[in-house]
Amino acid sequence: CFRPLYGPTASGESLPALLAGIQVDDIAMARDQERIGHYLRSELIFALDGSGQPGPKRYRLKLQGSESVQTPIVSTTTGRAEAGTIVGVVKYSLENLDGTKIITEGVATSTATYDRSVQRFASLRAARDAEIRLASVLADQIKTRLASVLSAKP
Amino acid sequence: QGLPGAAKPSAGKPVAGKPGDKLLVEADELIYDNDKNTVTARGNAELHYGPRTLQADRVRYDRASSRVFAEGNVRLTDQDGAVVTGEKMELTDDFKSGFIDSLRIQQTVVKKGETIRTRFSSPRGERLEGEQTSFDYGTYTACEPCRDHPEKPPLWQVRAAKIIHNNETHTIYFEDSTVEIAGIPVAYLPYFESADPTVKRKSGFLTPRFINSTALGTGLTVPYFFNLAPDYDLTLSPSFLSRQGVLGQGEFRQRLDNGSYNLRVSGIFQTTPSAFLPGPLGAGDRDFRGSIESKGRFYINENWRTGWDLVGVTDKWFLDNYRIRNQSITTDYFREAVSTAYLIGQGDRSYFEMRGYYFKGLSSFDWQKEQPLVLPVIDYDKRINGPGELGGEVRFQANITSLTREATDFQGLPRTGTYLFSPSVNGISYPLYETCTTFNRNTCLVRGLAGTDTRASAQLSWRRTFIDDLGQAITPFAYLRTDAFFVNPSLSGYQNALVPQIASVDDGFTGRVMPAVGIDYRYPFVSDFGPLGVHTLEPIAQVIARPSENRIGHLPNEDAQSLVFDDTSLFQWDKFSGYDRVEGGVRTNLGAQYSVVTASGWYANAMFGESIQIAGVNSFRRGDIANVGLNSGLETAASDFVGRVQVSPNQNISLITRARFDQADFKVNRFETGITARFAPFLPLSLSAFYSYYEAQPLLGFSHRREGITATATYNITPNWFVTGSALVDLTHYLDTRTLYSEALTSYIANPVGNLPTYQNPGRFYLSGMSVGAGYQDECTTVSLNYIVSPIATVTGVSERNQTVLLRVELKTLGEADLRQNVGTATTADGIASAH
Amino acid sequence: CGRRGALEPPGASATVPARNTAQGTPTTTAGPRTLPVSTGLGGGAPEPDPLAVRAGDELPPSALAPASGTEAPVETSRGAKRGYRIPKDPFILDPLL
Repeated sequence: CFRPLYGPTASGESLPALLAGIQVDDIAMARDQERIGHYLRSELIFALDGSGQPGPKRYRLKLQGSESVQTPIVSTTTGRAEAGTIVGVVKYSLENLDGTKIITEGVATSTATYDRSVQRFASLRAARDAEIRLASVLADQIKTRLASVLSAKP
Repeated sequence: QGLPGAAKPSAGKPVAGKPGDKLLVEADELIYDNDKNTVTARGNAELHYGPRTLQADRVRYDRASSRVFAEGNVRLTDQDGAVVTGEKMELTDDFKSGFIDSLRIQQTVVKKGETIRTRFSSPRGERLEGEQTSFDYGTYTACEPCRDHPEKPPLWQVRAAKIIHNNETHTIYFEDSTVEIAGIPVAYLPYFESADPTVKRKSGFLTPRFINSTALGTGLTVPYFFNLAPDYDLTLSPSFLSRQGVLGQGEFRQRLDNGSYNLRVSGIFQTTPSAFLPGPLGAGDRDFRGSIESKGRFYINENWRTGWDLVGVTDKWFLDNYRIRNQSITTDYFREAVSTAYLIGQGDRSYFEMRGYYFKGLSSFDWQKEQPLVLPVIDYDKRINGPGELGGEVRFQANITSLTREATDFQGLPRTGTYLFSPSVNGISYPLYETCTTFNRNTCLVRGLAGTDTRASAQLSWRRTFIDDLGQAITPFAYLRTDAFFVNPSLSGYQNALVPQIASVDDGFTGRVMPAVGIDYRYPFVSDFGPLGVHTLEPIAQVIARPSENRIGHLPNEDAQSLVFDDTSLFQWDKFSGYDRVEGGVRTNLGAQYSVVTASGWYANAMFGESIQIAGVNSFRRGDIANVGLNSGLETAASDFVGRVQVSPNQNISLITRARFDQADFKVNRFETGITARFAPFLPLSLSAFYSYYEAQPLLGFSHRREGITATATYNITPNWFVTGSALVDLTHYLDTRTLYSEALTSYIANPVGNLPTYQNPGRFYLSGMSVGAGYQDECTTVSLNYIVSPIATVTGVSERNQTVLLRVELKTLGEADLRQNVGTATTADGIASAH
Repeated sequence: CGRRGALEPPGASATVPARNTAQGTPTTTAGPRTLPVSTGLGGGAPEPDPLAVRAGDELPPSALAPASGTEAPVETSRGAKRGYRIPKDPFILDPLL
């Protein structure tokens, strides 16, 4: 039944070594949305290998994504959105180094919400913080999904 | 009688024209008739002359007059791939000139991955020197004939007494022409010319656009495009509005080697100002109104780029009233025109962004003097691998923010109460700029401090994950944060002098240092249930030890006013959303995460957790001048519980729900759920819907709960017909209206001026914004009709609620406009660009 | 009628646009098109071209957040640089990255 995820995988190799062997390529984000791409890639690199010791890479992780803002809560009287929800969608595919075989692929989706106020600068900085939180939630989701697939792969 | 030729003989014959070009003739049967000096090819004859090919059932080549007569499904393929077919053709022997009966020409162009096939046909046509083809009573269309019964007229075609297609200048001239939609004549044009599809850019009229709105009346926009050069152009788009006169719009676009910019100027002398509320609620007392917009983006080198996105308006309602920018119901509620200039650099795990901002509020309820001018705001983030044995990740972050503001932005608790400015228009008073009733600590907040506030922050952090052989992931971390504030609050003018009654804000330099050490412990377990997928369970515990935060409430808070405590911020080292606040004290964050991944692409995830303040000052308990932290769920030592459930059955559908449960009675304090789904290929529908419910937060000025739904859907009934719609429903507008009414009533009873405020209940489901669209689209036509209802009238300065109808008819290859590079399409909301 | 196409870098010498030299008529009908989602601004543009998606210049539909901008294929930051001459010379702030 349940066993430690970071123990030996079904194929006998140690999962942390497998995860550390993943090289995260530059992320292709939609134009003008590069900032969340930076935070997503940096968080993913640490999530996959927190040791910081450079080692041989065996897989390549390709990512493409975009984000958009939704405003479910608005004040009709003042015509202003009082909260914003950023929806992030990232398509990821784990391939071997020369990109000839896809090991696993999927689409990671998540959201992060921020409050808005009369002060537009405060709303803008709140949106930036929501982007950073969204990037770390997406990075954690992608890492968990890759770890699950690699740990079960014979 | 000629000599019956053997099958497929070919007779090469040198012919005048380009030296070496021979007229090759192939046919089932070749008959040489020496008295009439002709050669007749019978039975799928094929004649090649240079790049051109002529095929027909029978071809008679008269060597004396060097004319070629072809009969029976004749097909001439030109050098550029255009196919000319007809019943009878009489051509010169180089096929350049001649007459064609029941002529049809088909030309195919592939542009940006899209194949466009145009068709000419006419009972009689003439080819002149291979350059020009003229059609008598011909038709032109870009539509494919229906496969099952091709005799049906295409969706649209242009029928003209004379059509001349000039292959050299790539232009098509139509004389005495009518545009027919499904065979029915719709428009008559004595003369017009158009570029043939191989041309990417050509001056001329673009497709007109139709608009109808309450404030503008019925309008027609007739854009004219000047193709000045391959790298710059000008588009003038006068709009003739029945109720407001002529709106002039000019857009100049230029592309340089390493970037591009565009500039758009719009202006109108409006003829019916009464459609708009009189100042200061609308632009009713203005006759000239206009805007200037410019966008630029330039690449400095591989990692650096710079640019700007500026907008200037004569009044805050112009962009809405005249639909200058492409608005959707989401961007309708970002009521601001943000002008910014930037320098951005991005490398391997490093990001540098320097920007300047000027915010122009576009709602009647915005007082411009309360919006800051931010020059500059610099963000820098750089991570490297820890050197040598240290390992892990060493990260340096920095931020410098400097902003100035004229008038302090006070906010009363509760919000509605006193207003700086409530003009009345024909008896009804409109409370506009809110402020506080009494200026003391617990009835008044400062959302924005007047004066100049500059802060420089830097944070150095280190973290490293160790995985022991039991599979536990232990991540020790440490960080040192330093902030330097240079605050110079202005206490003169407006109500600025009242700030000291609320808080004693430090004047001059204030320093703040926050060292921290912590450990993040995760012990994930996995189990493979085969078809039921791989399940992982991950308990998470985090402990952070820090001194308490000092100077709470004595420093301005400009960039950390939003505090959303949920599953995404539970495990952040510092839960504040900006640098103006820093989290202090010893705190532990506990939680667990459960995920399921199945081979068929299913993904599900659940998280639950809580945050507990162990020692030191709870930064969220003592609110600052904007009360940030209060009513957030973190103000109690043991915080509210936060949870998330996400289900994504496949790549195209995902449902995300999160909630915050009260610490004491597990009541829902905050709830939001969202679904995004593309049901293709099972169902040609794509939709996204979001619902949020926020319990009342009285200490932040929200005396009642806030609730709303936003939804967008596109459904294509057939591959060509589609319906699209979006709606924004404000479920607590009736509470706002009731509060405003009761407050207007009390102030009316206090001093009865103007007439008695009336109360209409807007109903539980108030439609704040809606747009419905439908249309048809195939390979040669796009027709779309959109109806948009804008937000409430008083916000956008119109006397009645503005409803707009937009009609777009686009006939492929006739007056097309590539909209991707123009100013109006891309909108940014809170710095998040819409993907385009 | 005119045609307002995309801008080209100034170096583009070809005044007369390149002739289409495709011989014969390709049988493919017009490429499938995405549907206008926003308030009728763009007329529904062709699906992102698979080559550009593989090259990382355009985003596949599955990587698109809901209700985003006009319907033209969404360019990635790499795709946005296509066609521009990106200078190679160093910038004073390069050491920061």
